[in-house]
Amino acid sequence: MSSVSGADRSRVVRVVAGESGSEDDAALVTAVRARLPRAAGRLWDRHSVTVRRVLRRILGPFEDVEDAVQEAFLRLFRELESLHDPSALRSLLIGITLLVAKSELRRRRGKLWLTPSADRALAEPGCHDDTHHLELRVALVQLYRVFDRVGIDHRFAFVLYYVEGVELSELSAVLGCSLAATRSRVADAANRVCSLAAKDPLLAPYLSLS
Amino acid sequence: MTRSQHAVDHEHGATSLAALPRLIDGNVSAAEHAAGRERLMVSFGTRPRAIPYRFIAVAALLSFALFATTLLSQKPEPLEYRVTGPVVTKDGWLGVPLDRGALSLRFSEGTEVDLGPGSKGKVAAVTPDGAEVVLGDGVLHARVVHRPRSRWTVAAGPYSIEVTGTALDVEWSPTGERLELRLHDGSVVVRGPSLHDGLHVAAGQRFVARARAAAELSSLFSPEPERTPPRETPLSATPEAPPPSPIEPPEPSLPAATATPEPTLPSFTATPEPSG
Repeated sequence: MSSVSGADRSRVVRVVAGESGSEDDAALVTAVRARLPRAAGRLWDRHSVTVRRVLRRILGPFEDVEDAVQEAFLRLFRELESLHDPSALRSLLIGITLLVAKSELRRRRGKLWLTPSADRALAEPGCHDDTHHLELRVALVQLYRVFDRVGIDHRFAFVLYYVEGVELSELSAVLGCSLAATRSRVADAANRVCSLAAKDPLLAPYLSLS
Repeated sequence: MTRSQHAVDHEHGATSLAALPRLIDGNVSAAEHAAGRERLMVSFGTRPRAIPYRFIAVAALLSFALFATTLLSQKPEPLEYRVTGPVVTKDGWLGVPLDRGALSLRFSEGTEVDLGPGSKGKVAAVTPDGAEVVLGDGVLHARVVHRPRSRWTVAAGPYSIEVTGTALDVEWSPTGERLELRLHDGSVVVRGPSLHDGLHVAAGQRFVARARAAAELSSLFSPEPERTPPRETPLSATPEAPPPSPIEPPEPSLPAATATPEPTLPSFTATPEPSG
């Protein structure tokens, strides 16, 4: 029986580039709907890296998100039947990922309070121990503490717009808001996050980096 | 500073700050990617085939015409289940890595079956009333929801445990051919070598069977029985531990003395199920 060992984790490789597949999303959706053999696997190959990245960036880098990734894909399979425009698969997948992330954040709220993530993150074995990496890790932990204080909707808006680089029009579709409301939410998220970060001596230096 | 100047500063600050989470990517090792893929395929394969919308109207008409006969002959859909937790599939078995926690099988009617780290098992059959779960090696914990006509079986080696609604732990070692069943709730019937008529095990009881040795039924509150086969290990004198009740010969025995006088406990008798 083979297993995924802890040593494998450190040997991180880019296994699939989501955009490099020759099969487009519409064909993939059709294959999954028809329950063709291996269609689910091809969908996983094409989009799991994106889903995992969005979840990690929303939930924080020090949480195991594999169960959440699986949940997002299973929900996607349920929703595929009602997807009228198969080329909108990516937007649907991001929307579902946000729903999964929201329930994860609610579930973890009490747990994070009991076991502060900073302690876990800094004590995590196998991390780079030079000063620069340690500073980055500490800053990341602080940033996710800030995210915990700005509310889930603003967290999503900040991560998707500023970190993921999702366009306002697509973000509007994903969040289910008008374009004006989405723009307002993004601005409000930037305002809240930056105001809190400016008061944090560990994060303030990162506000002025270009 | 004006309001618009604030907005510009925050826009610039947010863009700079976003560089931090951008260090996080979604990559994993090839082994983890493959494990996730297998896990998804297992879960995806258990879902029933979806019906395309364009056939719904035709299907509705046909269903109406065939309603009477369908009603009589239709069988309910088998239960669905979802796999949660670390899994490595091999030769049809669901293997649980030693270092990644337990694997859960969650069935659509509420029953939960967990496989412990280092264990392997599989779902051999799923019916509308239950399923047959095979424990190949290791530890299994099940919480079976009691329903009318529910029919669940846990198979381990030559033994099978028939469950109708209960919470139980099963441990099976294929090398030592040793089965241990701990029943926390409800009752089950165990069948296997020398138990052809079935043995009723009730809540609060532990049942241990070994290859070519007498099976034992004891209280969960009594000390755990020796794990190695008794014929290989000399018996040690442990006066404080009450001896387990032997199953063979298959005659009703008197309630065994228990070390802990618990008034609500059932009597620990080794009574084979009446045949017929």
